[in-house]
Amino acid sequence: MAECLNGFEYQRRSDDEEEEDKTEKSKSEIIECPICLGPAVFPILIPCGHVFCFLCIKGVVQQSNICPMCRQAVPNNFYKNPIFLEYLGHNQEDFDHDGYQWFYECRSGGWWQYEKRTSEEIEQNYQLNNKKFNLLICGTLYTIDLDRNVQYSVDNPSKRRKLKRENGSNLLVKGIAGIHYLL
Amino acid sequence: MSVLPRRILKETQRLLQEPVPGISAEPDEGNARYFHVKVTGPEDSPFEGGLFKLELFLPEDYPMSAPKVRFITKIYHPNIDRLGRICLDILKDKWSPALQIRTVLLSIQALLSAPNPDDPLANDVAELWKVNEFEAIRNAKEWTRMYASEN
Repeated sequence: MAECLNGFEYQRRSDDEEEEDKTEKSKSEIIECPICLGPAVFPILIPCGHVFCFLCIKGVVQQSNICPMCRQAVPNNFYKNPIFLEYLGHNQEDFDHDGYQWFYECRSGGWWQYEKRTSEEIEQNYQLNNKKFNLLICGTLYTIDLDRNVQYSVDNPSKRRKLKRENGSNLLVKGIAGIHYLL
Repeated sequence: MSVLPRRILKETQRLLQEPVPGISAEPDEGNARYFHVKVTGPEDSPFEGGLFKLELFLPEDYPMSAPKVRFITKIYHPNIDRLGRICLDILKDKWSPALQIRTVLLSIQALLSAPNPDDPLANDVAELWKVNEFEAIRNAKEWTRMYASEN
C-alpha cells in the first residue's frame, strides 16, 4: 500500500501543541508512551511499574501477557477495571473536526467515540478522500471503509461494526473507545 | 494512499534529527515504510572498516510485529545467511512493540561484534567459526574488504 509523508506537516503542528501542553502542566506529568511514542492517552500504570496509553497496552496484552518494557507477566484482565493515572475527561477540542466527530457502534447499543488519535487518523484519510484504508487500533489491524461506513478486523472481515462521522450531540455516546464516561 | 501512522513519522523524524553513530536509516522516497539502512562495521570486529547496506521494512501492523530486516551487502557471519537474512531473537519471538528501528539496528550492529556460532543461520560459516575461529575471522575480514569497502 502506497503511503505518503504528508503527515510531516501535521506532525509538526501537533508537536507545537504538545509544547503548549507542557507549559500548562509540569513537564514531569507528560509521559511518553513507549508503544505509540506520543504523550500517553488515558495513562495507566501496570503492576511492574511501567506506564502506557490504556489502548496501547490493552492491545499488546490481548496478544501476549507480558510487559513490552520488562517482559514481566501482566494480569490478562487488568484492563477490565482500569485505574487511570489521570482521567483527562472529554476534551471536546481533541475530537472535533469542523464540528464533527467519529463514532463506532457499541454492540449493546449506542455509540463509542473513537479515541483521539484514531479519530485524527480517520479524519486525515477522510480529508484526503481515502475511502478504504487500514488502521492499527488497540493492537489490531482494522479496515476502515468510508463508502460503507463500517470497520472490521483484517483477520475477521465478517464481524463488522458501523461507524459514522457526525455531530454527536444527538447520539447516545457511552464513552471513548470502550472507556465509559465517568459520572 | 493512506496516512502514515504517527509512531512511524515520529521514529523517522528522530532517526533523521538524532542519528545513531555508525547507523543511518533513510525512508524511501516512494514508500515511507521502506528504509535504506547503512551500518558501519564495529571497531575491533572482523567487520571494522566496512559499510554494510541493509533494507528495513515496517509491516502494516508495526509495531505489533517486528520490522523485516535484511543485509544487502554480502557478509561472512554465522548468524546471517547468503540471502542476508538475520538470525536475531528480537526480530522473531522476542520482538516487543517497545523496541524501535533504532534499537533493532543497534542490536544488529552488536551482533556484528558478537557472532554467535551456536545459534547459526549460515551453517558452513558457523561450523568454521567453531572449529577454526582464526580462519573464519580471516574470511570475514576478507569479505568485508571485498564487498563492504566504502571506496
